[in-house]
Amino acid sequence: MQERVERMVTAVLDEIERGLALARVPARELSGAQQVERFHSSLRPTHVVCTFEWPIAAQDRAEPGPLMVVKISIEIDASGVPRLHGVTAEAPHASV
Amino acid sequence: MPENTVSQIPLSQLVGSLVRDIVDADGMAAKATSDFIQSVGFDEKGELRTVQFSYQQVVPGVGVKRYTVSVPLLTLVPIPILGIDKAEISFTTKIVEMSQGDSQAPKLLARIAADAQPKSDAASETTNIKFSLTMSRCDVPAGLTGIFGLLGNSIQVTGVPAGKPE
Repeated sequence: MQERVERMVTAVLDEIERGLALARVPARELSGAQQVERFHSSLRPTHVVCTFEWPIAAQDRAEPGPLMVVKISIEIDASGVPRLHGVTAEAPHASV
Repeated sequence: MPENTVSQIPLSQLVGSLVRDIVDADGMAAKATSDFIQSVGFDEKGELRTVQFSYQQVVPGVGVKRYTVSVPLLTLVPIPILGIDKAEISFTTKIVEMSQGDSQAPKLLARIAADAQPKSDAASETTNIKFSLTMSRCDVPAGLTGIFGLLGNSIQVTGVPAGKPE
């Protein structure tokens, strides 16, 4: 379960980094994309918070089990690179 | 209900598009300010628009003296300085596919989800991710500050003798 959450966190972090890169430089996927710092170098993304639910019991997929809420806190530095600031996992409705 | 596969895009593209749109909006706001200054402050020939008026004043020992005042219009009207100071984007995506790969981070295919609550589907290993992205106006980098200084130094005021064409 922990490994799958780690994969998801890694994937989200990677997607955000590539997404910010798309916004900063012209990219094939986004024709006409402009650099983030083209007009206002001082306006830039600084924080991202992602929240998602994940099943606690990964083995038993037949029946829906208790879920934990995973919260990823990401800070984005001046160069546009996201840095993982913290990950918390809570199981508010779990009866374990 | 069949899923709309067209709306499924890489999560990175979704994030990048939103950030780019905010930056573009900020640029448009700055251009609106620039256009306002250009259209209100200057005429078609690039000359400074001014409000002119004259008045008479009694100067002791001299008599009545006439004065003409010319005031740049830009100093009389409020200039709409537009810009984004802070932007907060909140959206929920449904992760419809996570690629399997050992060598690099998995790629995520996503689409905008109507449900604002994070929701997981253990059977298909999909989940809704709620994003909250903050953009702020930060300090201008030192390099740009230097460039602004150079631009400020390039402002020149040149006197032209009265009655002589430039």
